[in-house]
Amino acid sequence: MSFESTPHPIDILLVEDNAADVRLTEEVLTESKVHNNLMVANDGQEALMCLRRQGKFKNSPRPDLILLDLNLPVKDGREVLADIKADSDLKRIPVVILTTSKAEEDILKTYNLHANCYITKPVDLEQFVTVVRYIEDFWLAIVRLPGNGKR
Amino acid sequence: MRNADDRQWVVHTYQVMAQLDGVLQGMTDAETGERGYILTGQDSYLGPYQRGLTAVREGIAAVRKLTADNVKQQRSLDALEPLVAERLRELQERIQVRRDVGLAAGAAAVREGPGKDYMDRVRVTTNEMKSEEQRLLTLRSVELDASSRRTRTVLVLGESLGLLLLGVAGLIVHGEMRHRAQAEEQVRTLNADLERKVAERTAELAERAKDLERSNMELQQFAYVASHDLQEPLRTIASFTQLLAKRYGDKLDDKAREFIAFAVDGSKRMQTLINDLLSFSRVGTQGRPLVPVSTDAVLDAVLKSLKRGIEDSRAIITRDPLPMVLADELQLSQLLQNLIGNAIKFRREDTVKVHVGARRTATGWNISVRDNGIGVAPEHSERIFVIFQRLHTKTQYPGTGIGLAICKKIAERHGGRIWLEPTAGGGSTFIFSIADGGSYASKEQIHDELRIHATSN
Repeated sequence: MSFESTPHPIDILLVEDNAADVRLTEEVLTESKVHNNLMVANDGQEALMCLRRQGKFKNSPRPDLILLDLNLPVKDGREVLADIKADSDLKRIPVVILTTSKAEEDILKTYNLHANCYITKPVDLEQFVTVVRYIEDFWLAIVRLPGNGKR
Repeated sequence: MRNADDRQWVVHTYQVMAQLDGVLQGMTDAETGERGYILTGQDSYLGPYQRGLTAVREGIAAVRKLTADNVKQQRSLDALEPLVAERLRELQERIQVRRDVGLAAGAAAVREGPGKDYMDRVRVTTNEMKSEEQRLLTLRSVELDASSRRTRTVLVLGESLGLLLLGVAGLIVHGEMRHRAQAEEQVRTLNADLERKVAERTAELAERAKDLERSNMELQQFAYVASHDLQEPLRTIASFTQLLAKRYGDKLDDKAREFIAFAVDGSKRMQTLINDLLSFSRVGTQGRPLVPVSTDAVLDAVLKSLKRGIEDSRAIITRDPLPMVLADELQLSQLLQNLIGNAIKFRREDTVKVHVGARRTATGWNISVRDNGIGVAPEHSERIFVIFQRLHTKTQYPGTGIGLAICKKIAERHGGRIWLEPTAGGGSTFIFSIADGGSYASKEQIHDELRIHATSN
C-alpha cells in the first residue's frame, strides 16, 4: 500500500503530564517515516491554550492530530475532550485517547464525548512503537480529513 | 358493644398502615441489597434482597386481605402492584447484568434506570392508601362522637325515668368514656411506636448507606491503584530499559546488557504480581452465582488442562466418585487446578500420586486432594494461605505465592473453608468444605421463581 507523501510536516499535539511518557513518545516519533512536529501540553489547561493559540502558544500551528491522556492535572483529559468537541472550530481535529486506563467506564465516557478513538498504552516498548506507527498510518496517511485551510 | 367495634377499627387502620410501611420497607431493603451486590458482587447481599422481596409479597397480600371490603383501596392496590413488580423486575435485571457483565455495567444500569420514578410512584400510591385509612378512621371517630352525644340525650330524658335508670345510664356513659379514652390512648401509643420505629430505621439505613459508600470508594480506589498508578511507573521502567537495550545495546559490554536484562525481567515479574493481585481481588468482585455443579465433570476438565504436567511428571491420579456441589464452576475448577497443580509441582523424586476424595458431612461435602509430595511443616499450615507467602526460593519452585491464597478466597466465597491435614507417610492433604448441590433446583428454575415473585399478585 502506498500513501500520499505529505508535502509539509504534520503537527501533533501531545497532552501528557508524565515527562517520561512525553520523552518516550518523542523518541518513537523520531523513528517515524512521516515528517512530524510535536507540540506538548503538560495539563488540560495548557492543551486548550495551545489549541486557542493563547499565551506562549501564540505562534503555534493548529494541530492535525491530538494525542490526549485522560488523567491530567489542573484540567482533566475528559474535560479537555468535552471542550474540544463543543468548539465548532476545534471539533474536527481527530482526538486519539492514549491512556493507561483499561476501565470500561473511561472507554464509554470518552466515546460518548466523541473521542475519535481510544487506545490503552501497552507496557511493552515494541508494542508501543507499533501502536504509534498505526496511529500515524491511519490518521495521517489513510483517512481523509476535511481541509482546515490552516496553511 | 360498639366501643369494642370502634377499637377494632383503630387496630385495623394501623394494621393496614403498618403493612403498607412494610411494603415500602421491603422495597428499600431489596434495593439496598441490590446496591450492595452491584458494588461488591458478594452473594451475601442477595440475602437482604430476597428478604425484601418476601416482605413486599407478604405485605401486599396482607393489605389485599385486610381491605377486601373496600373497593377504593382494592383499586389502589391494583395500581400499586404493577409499579412494584416493574421496580422489582428492574432490580433483578440489574443484578443479572452485574453478574453477567460486571461492576461497570451494573453501576451504569443503576444510573440510567428509571428506578427513582417507579419508587416515587409507589410511595405516592401507598401514601394515598394510608390517607384513605386515616380518613376512614376519622369518619368512624365522628360516628363514635355522635353515639356518645345520643347517650347524653338519653341521660337528660332519663330524669323522668327515675334515679335507678339514671344510675344505669351514668354507668354506661362512664364505661363508654373510659373505653374511648383507652382507644385514644392506644392510638397515641401506636403512633409514638410507629414514629420511633421509623426514626430508628431511617438512622439504620443512613448508617448502612454510608458503609456502602465507603466500601465502594475503597473498591474503586483499589481498582484504580492496581490498574493505573502501579502500571504507569512500571511501563516507564520497562519501556526505557528496552529502549536503552535497543538503541545502545551494541555500544555496551556484556555486563551492562546483563544488568538491563535484570531490570527488564524485574519489571515483567512485577507486572505478573499486579495481575495476580487483580485476579485475587476478582474472586470476590467478579464471581458468578452458585449453582449445582458436578465436581466429577469439573475435575475431568481440570485434568485435561493439566495433561502436559501430569504426563511430564508421570503422576498417577486416582479419585472417588465426586458429588454435585453448589458452586461457581469457573472458581471450583480454579480451586481444583491450583491444588492438583501444587501436588504435581511440589513433588519428591519418586512416583507422584494424587488422590481426589469426597466425604459427606452434616452440612455438605469435604473434598480432599492428597499427594505424596514434599509436604508442609505443621508450623506453616496457616501461612501458606496468605497472599505472596512462599516457603521456597524462586529457583527451587517458581511462582508468586498466589495459588493457595486464591484457593482460600474461593472456598470462603462458597461459604466453606480450606485447610491442611497431616498426612501419614509424608505428602500433604488439602481439604475444602462446600455446600451440597444435589437437592437444589437448576439455575433456570431459580431464575424463573424470582421472576414470578416479582410479578405475581
